Amino acid sequence: MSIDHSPAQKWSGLSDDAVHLDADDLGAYELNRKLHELSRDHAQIVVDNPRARHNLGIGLEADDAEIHFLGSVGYYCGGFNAGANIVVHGNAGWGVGEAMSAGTIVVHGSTAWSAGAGMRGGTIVIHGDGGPRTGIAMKGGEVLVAGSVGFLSGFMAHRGKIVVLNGAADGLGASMYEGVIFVSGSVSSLGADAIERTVDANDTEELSRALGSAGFSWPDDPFRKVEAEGRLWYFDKHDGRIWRSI
Amino acid sequence: MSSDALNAEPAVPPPPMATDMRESPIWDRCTIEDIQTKADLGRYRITGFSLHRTIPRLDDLVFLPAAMTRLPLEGYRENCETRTVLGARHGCAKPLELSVPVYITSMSFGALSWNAKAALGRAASAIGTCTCTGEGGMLAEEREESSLLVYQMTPSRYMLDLEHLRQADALEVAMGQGAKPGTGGLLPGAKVAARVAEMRTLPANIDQRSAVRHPDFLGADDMEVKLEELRIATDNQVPIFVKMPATRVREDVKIAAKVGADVIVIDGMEGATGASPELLLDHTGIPTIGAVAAAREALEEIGLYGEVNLVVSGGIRSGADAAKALALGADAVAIGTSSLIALNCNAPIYEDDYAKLGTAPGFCHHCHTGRCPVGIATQEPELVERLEVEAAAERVENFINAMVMEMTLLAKACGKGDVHGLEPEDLRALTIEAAAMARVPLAGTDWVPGREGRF
Ligand SMILES: Cc1cc2nc3c(=O)[nH]c(=O)nc-3n(C[C@H](O)[C@H](O)[C@H](O)COP(=O)(O)O)c2cc1C
Ligand code: SF4
Repeated sequence: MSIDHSPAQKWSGLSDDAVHLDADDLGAYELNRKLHELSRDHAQIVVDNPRARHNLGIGLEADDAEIHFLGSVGYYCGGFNAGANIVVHGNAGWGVGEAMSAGTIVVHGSTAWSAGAGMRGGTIVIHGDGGPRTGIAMKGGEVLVAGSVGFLSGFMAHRGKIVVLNGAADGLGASMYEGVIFVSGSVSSLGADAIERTVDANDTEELSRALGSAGFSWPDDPFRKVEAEGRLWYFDKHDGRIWRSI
Repeated sequence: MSSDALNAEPAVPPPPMATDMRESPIWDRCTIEDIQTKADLGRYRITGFSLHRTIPRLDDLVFLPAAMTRLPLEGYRENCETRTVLGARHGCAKPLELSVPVYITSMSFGALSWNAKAALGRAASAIGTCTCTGEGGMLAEEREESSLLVYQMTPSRYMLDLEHLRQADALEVAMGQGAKPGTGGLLPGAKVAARVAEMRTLPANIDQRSAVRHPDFLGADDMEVKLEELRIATDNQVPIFVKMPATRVREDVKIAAKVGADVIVIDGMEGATGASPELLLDHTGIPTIGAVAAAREALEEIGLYGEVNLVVSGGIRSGADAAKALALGADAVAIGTSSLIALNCNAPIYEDDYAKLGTAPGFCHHCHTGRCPVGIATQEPELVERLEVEAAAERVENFINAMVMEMTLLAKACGKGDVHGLEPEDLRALTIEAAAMARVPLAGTDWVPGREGRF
């Protein structure tokens, strides 16, 4: 997806009172400290020139300001987020929102591997595509993707929800626990122990809420619901054939 | 006896041997039992505790105390420093200041009971050393009891979030362990009780096999970024440990140092477990004795020995083992099994319950069953109650104190005013294998296999 680098005022959701921080002037540690500092007096902080640098906006909390990165961010943006609202006006590198427990991260672009890895709560909205292993090892919260997701998305998801509007690559939902994936569009293959279950009325209601919160419209293709069958949860000699190779 | 009697043929020939009892060294009773057990199970065997074979170990080394060439310190009177600081490399605000170079290793809540975790924490706090969470998340009781708690971040990331990260006195990024290199943790369903399951966000009672690869970094370059993230998230308040099994130690240690570890923990192949596939215990990794020497050499080669701290674990049973590990290059040792044995593991009590597991005190390795007779490796409340926290903590405290006394006794005999002053020169090897692995001369010679020297 191409990114528009025109002046800040054109970006969606920015207020005129927002305070600006130039990432070019600051190292990763200082930038994060500054975000906390400025949050005391400002409701919105705009970070100019993130230039896909790593570790931006780490360990932010609910009383921190809403933070906008004007451009792409590198690895682990919004990692350990504990309640802040973060908007990325570009693409995000590996592990966006990893280990987050609350808050939202909205990416107006695509994300690389492992978006939301291990997250325990909160919401990640991806307007482009999610990379491989989106939602890997997640333990709660939701990841909402307007585009598609890469291979092994939802791998070992313990709990939480992934919603994908435009298809998934191989190994979707491999070896999950109580994670749930809703996917519309084509799925290359389901992963080990993943099974398709019927979408019921509750699911549909939940999906409308989730899509509404992300500002996504309902897709043309019906949703499929992917969960774990649970055959890998126990050692059972009768499953020896499965165990042997996975 | 008359000569007749001596010469006479015996009236009755001796009976033939009832059975031919010659055992095949290839197909011995253990092998036969092993095959038949697998024929029943239909999978690899799983066990707790440690390996089932003999390997070169720290026992194969001896100290050379002072005689004519060096002056000993007064063993019973003069002071020998034991204070140990870990993790100052990147200038974090609070490196771990331990009163002794011994701490309690990562053992998960789940593998261990809540009473065992609390007792270990209480003992470590009384000593002035740290303990570690292990893989199962941070147990509230453990946090409360432990004045210094290392929070382990395993690939499964159980409970990992900002709130828990900020409660840690140090972080340990787990890249594996000596008992099962290259393989994720294992917790049989009998131990995935409700609280364990909730802390790990799992359905209760499943046979949990944790991940081995971290979910959001794969190679060294990613890991360097990851460690920076952790430092930012903790505002560089606490040190970062990287724990790994002893396999390609020389290369792995250099990489861990490069990606930014403040402390590297090397776990030798004898490192124990709550539950592991048995073959990984016996057939993977290298012994602790070889791992320490290789780790030290690796750090020396990149000029970071002394700057990156080295912790060694796996089969440390006494002050002698610990002192040898320090002499070979470790800054501290971490203990698992010996602390559990001090708690009461394999103690001759509740013998009927050992018998129910098909074992006996002194032989138990049944942590994986969840039916630990002494309340250490179980989640069953009536068993856990058998471990009284206060008394158990006192035993562990006594044991660590005894270990440290043994260490200082050896150090002073070698003329050192600080246990960290022990060096490879203070050691000799009793076997050629130990000499080769530890890089110290064979006793009575100047010969280190692979190096110049007189045999
Ligand atoms: C009951 C038990 C549970 C363990 N749990 C973990 C764990 O969660 N994470 C880990 O890295 N190592 C774990 N280990 C391995 C120890 O941290 C350590 O490497 C090993 O026990 C050291 O060897 P030792 O027992 O001979 O002292 C566990 C070991 C035991 C005995
Ligand atoms: S006594 Fe308990 S802790 Fe010790 S080996 Fe047996 S089950 Fe494990």
